Amino acid sequence: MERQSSPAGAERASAATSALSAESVVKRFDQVTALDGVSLDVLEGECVALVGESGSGKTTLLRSFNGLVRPDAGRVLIGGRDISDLDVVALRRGMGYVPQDGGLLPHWRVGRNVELVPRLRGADGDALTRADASLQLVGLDPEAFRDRWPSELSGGQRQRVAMARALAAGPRILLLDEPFGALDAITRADLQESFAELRASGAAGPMTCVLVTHDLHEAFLLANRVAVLQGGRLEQVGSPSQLIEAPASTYVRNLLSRARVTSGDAVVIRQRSGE
Amino acid sequence: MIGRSLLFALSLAAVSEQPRAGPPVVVASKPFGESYLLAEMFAQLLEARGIAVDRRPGLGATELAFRALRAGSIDVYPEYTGTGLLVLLGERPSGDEKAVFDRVAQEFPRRFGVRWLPPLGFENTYAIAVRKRMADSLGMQTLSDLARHAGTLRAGLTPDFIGRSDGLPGLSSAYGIRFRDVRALLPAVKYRALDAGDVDVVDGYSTDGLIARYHFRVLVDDRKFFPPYEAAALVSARLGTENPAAVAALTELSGRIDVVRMRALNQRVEVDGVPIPRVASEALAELGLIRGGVPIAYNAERAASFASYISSSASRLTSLTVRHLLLVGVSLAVAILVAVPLGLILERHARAAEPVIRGVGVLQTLPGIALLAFMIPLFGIGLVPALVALALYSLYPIVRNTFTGVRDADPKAVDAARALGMTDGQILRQVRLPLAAPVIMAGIRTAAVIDVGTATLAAFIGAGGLGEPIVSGLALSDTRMILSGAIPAALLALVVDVTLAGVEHFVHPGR
Repeated sequence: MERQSSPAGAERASAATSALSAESVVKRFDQVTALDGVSLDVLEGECVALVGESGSGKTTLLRSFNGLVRPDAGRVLIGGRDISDLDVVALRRGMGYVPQDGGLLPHWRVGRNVELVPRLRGADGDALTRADASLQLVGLDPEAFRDRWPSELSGGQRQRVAMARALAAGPRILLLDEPFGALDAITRADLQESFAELRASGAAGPMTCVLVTHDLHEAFLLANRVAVLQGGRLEQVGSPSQLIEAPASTYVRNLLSRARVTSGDAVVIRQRSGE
Repeated sequence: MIGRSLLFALSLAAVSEQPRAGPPVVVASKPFGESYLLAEMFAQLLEARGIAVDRRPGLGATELAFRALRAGSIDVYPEYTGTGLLVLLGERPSGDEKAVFDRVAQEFPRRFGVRWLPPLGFENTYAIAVRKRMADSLGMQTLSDLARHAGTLRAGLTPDFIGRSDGLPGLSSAYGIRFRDVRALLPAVKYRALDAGDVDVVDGYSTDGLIARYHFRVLVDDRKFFPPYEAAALVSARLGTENPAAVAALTELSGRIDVVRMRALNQRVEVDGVPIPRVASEALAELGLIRGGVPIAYNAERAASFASYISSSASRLTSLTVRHLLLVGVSLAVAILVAVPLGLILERHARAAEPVIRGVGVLQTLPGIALLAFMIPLFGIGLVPALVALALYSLYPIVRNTFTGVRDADPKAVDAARALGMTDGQILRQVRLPLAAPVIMAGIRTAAVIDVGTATLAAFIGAGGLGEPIVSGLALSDTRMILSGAIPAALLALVVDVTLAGVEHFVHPGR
């Protein structure tokens, strides 16, 4: 796929190009309008969190970026090209994907699960090496985990394996659908931290990511920008501090207050992200 | 003919010895004592004249045996002229026995290409039987008497009799008989049911040996409703042209068996429990048709214990069990090869799925005998039609489970596989099929266990297996014989179930 070059880990510089774009995307399921004209640009190297309540359309938007959802109207662009002109199967092999429950294939051992995408891309020879490296990247010892069955793992380990599987082929784009949503608070904090470190260190290479979450804290912790969806419409897109300091609507304000995010947090966030 | 040659090619297990060139004469019977006995007499007589014989005893009922004869799958079986006239020609009874015989003898070659040999010499008409004590207390001697009391009586009739125009329907209109209740009973159990008082009236045959075993009264047909049923050999036209020696041998029996002798012979089989081959050879020797002392190695009499019966027929039961396994194994394999791909195709065409699966399910509801009957014109009798019918019976659980198993395979795993770039084909082969494997195996297991049971019906079209002793045991009311087929069949079902449960466990993904 043709790809415009851009600096790794680019901030929201005006020069940065869009890795992913939704242009007035509409999607209906029977009577329900899941997406009602949503436009969003995700820039090269940034991480955008999609937040909102259940049914707000955040997962549908995520799934339109890898062609699992086909818009009824509007366009989805990947690297500037309309997704309907692209080979979605090849496209997906270049995107990591982590669903809420891991989505590990229960009849394959951990090693085989992690080797999945490298093998699909024809890297049979070094699939094993890549899988081991990927397991190490997410903090799992390949020797200890390679031959385990998914059913033998804890919830946190399962998500780490799912993350390793998503990263094994070195994707430039990572789609995460409530990746830590089903975990207990301590494990979740653990994994969030690992993920933040992974991104910060650049060990997995330059990556654009879209994160679906209903947890504002998680969004603020992991994302450069946060997109708030409600009823299939985009309420506001902005950096965490922008959201806190200037909520665009009552809905956003309520969302923040329910999550007990205060203006004090904005300071912390700004310090952390070096703004 | 195609069916027949296929049959010979495939039914290696059933090949009998062939002392002379040319195909053996296939001798068949219907599944009741007298028919077995007459067929065995035909067979032994032919053998005594140096003609090779292939025995196919106990074919379903009139329809099955007659279809097999017309299809050329069998060469001869004992039939009754009245049945020929009413059931096969569909004509009303008319005149005396001579008129009936002349009519069928004239019509059958023209209409069906089969011919009647001259009658054997006795009539076996329907006999409506009641308990003597009840008959006495109600003062019943005739069918007209029965008509007066029928409203308070429960009838237990053979399915054949209930459906035939010369059976219950005709009887009802001729005498105005309306029973309080009519139940379909197998020949084997009807006398016991009558004796036990579960029913009050049964249908039987006038030469029946079993009627003598109980205290029953046969009611007089005072309006002469039942037509003459003279027993005779019904032979294929081909036999007459290709093997006149066989026809000549069979004709030696014409006019030789009177009703007294037949009843006595039936009693030897049905009451005394003497093995049919022995009764047949003794009868032929008495008639001076063969020399006495044809060595028959049967020592199983009704007095012998079940255990000694089993041990004495162990080698026969072993070969029947092997045959049964062959029937189940091959039909199941064919069913799997058809049903699994069909289930997968249907999974891709969700709209067509339910109608098609329901259609396959309808096959399941057809009575086994009916399905087997449909097979005869296409495949003749024996192994091939039995395998086809059993395979059709096995389709439903496998199609259903393949379809639902693949459709419902862990949706989250399937979604992740798709999101990571697996093609539909890869998802099917590498994810859905392996995940559905235990469900598909469960369907195969269900089909297999049902198959073991259904395969006992194969005996009705001469395909052998453990149904053989069950069918003849039922016909002869010989519990020991029934059990010698039923117990191994039940054990086989258990073994198959446990074995496939092991396989099912083995294919379970990811422990």
